[in-house]
Amino acid sequence: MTSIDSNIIIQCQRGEKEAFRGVVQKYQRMVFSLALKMLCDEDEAKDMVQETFIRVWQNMGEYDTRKNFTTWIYTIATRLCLDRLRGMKHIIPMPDDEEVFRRYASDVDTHRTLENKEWVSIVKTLAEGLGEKQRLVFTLCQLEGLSSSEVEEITGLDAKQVKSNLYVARQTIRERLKQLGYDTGR
Amino acid sequence: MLDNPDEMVENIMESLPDRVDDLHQKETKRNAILVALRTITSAAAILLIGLFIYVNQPVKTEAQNAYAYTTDFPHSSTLENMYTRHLQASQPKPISYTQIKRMCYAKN
Repeated sequence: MTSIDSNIIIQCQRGEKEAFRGVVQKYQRMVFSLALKMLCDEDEAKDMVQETFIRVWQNMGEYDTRKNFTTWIYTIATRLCLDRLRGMKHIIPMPDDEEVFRRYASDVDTHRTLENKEWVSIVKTLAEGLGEKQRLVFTLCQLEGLSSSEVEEITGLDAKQVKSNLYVARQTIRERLKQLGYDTGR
Repeated sequence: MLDNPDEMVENIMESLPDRVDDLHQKETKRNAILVALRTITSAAAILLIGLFIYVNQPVKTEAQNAYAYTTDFPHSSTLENMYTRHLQASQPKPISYTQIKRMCYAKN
């Protein structure tokens, strides 16, 4: 996780907007990446980035400087994503999404940077049927690459809950891959 | 992944509320609510204390009053006065008086 200079945080807490610009510049990609994978919609994800930073700005005074700032931003973003997700209809993959996924799966270059639309299609295809907590834990652990302890802090779940949600998510995705005709042999 | 990060930053910066003012406004509002609450609770407390005092006042029984004017014949009283007092005393007593008297007799 990236960290930020504590002076910038202090300036933001004093209400200096220009200092906050640095915070937005540093963390907007991270928040967008999470929101895109959680909401599977580029426009919604952009709205979410904006909403997250407004919330961060409004609550700067409540930020405890002893805690990790990145984790704090992630916590705000995940809560907002979950709220938005509850208000949304089920995310159902379209035939086009499956097509994108199949193309990606057959691609030889596994380190290729994915486009936003590709991310959306792949996550839509794989994460269909996941509960909101499983989707959240899976996104944070597997797609964003955060450690279990970080996920625990962000989600407020304990180690056992993180583990079990991740296990269920993996099993569901494995089943989904089987449905799509991929052998997931252990 | 963000196609236009600078534009996004500008949009966010433009939509940021003036936090300091907001906080100040919030604090003023909170203070006003607190003052109103304090006033209401103080008034309620005073009312309750008043009610408590009123309820716990020693009850001056009508029996005492009645007895007072039946037996109290000052030396300076004229016969007419005494007769009027006698008439008053012989009038039917309030229910509470008779009840209290009956209770006194029962105890003795």
